[in-house]
Amino acid sequence: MKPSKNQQRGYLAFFLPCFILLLIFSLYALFGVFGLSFNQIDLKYPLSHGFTIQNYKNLFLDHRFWNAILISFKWLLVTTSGSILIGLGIALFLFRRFRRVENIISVIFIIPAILSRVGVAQAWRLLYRSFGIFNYFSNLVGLGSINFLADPRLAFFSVAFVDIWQWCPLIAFLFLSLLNSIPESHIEEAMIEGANRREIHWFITLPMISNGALAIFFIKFVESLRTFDLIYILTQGGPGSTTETLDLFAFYQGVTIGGKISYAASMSVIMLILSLTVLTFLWRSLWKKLNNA
Amino acid sequence: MKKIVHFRTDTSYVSIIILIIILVIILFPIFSIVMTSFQKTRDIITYPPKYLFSPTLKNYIEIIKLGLIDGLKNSLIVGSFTILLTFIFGSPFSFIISRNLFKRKDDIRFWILTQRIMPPIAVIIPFIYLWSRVGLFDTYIALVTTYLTFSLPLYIWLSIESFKSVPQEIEEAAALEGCTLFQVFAKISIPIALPGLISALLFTFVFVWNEFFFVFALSSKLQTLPLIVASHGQAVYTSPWGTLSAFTSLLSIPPIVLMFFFSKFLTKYFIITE
Repeated sequence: MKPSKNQQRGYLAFFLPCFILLLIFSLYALFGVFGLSFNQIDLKYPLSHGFTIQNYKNLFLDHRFWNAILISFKWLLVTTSGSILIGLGIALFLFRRFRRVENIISVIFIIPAILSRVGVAQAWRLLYRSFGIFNYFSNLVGLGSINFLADPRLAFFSVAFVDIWQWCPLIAFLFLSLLNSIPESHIEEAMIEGANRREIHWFITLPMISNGALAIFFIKFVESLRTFDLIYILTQGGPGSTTETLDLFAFYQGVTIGGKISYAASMSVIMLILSLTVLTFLWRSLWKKLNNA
Repeated sequence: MKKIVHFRTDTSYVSIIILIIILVIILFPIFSIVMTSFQKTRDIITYPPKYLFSPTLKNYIEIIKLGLIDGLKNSLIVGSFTILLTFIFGSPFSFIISRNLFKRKDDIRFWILTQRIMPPIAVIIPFIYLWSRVGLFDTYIALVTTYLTFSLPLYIWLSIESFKSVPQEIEEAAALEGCTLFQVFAKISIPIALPGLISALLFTFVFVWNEFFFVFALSSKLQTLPLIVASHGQAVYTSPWGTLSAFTSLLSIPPIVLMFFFSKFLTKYFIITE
């Protein structure tokens, strides 16, 4: 049935207000960040100096920027792969082992991910502090005091570990629900053939959840781009700049220390381009797989 | 025969112990911060850490003087306005997207998703500039408007599925009876989709409640709870652990309570099913 003129007008009245609002947001954010990045605007003296690519030239020579890019990549790699591998491991371990208490387990597994990252970071600062429980145990076993957040060799992994702690339970929960959605008959057939737990996972369950796994990877990747809260509370980018990811560096340059908002914008542009490239690629392959299935 | 068919549910002692270890690792940091919030200062700074102590409410009374009421008020005002506007703007939009009315609806959904995956720093930089130029730094308007940039896409993404679950036959029947689109939407689709929509709103609210980066960038005097928790810990050399953990515990209560309303709905929406 073709909608009448009147109906079409109704559809538009429903669609347009929000669409326009979102369009304004995204166009403003996009043009704003690009526009600022090709200018030399300072928050304290907001004067336009006209078009320039000076920011990008400066970026290229700024070794702190390259360091931040490197740390950001390291962060994405470690937290994404860490939480997904551990989460998957936990899910495979739980699968069909604790049917009766699975609901309670699921609820507990969701909790860390929905807590505010600021709160989580403070809780871990409490554990990591020099009079904290971790140091008590490290002294007990003879490792001596450990400066989890101030030791340049350790700080990155201490922070990354908090992120993995926060996300791998949720990921385990998601994987577990994926595994549970596989039809019983597939698994039963394999069992009649005499397959053991490992073989069943390798040949049957894991291939069947690969689409869902890609979706989980996508979610975690996006989440790992939001690093600011956790790192800011735990180390503020330090010691030195060993945990200074791109968004921290950009924020410091643009707002806290310098007010060089244009310079910060140019970094955001780089970050935007890099992350959108990866995510579009991921999304395409996910979409293709889902449509083929 | 039946015995063979059953997957070995080997709930052995070893696996129970492993499960308990996993649960302890998950819960221990949360437990520690809640515990610390009930400790007196001298119990907090003793070494080794103390797990047997006489609890006190002193920290919770003290944080009232440290701006708890203001923080709660600001968090609730910003949160409720953001959620209200998200509902008003987002619901009709995702209702339309959930119906097969547009050829390009998949593109629009992808576009919604890209809004959600923009790096926050790229979103916030132009807004910092905007709000500082028009003199709206430290205002509710600036916060709510900026929060909408992530709450709207999130809510839309989640609520499309809820609207899809409304049987279209009922809507069509109502339309044939002479209901306008708005009447169908308000009297039929919304009530039927309501459980899902409420879950989606609560879920979105948790994100708004937890948001730190945007408020950190846009406010200094107007502090929501996450901002207080962040700045209170950073303020002095040795963190005031007692009051800080009391703040942190209060910040964590709403997400945990609300989660029980949307926990069932989480899988459905995290895993993109088409």
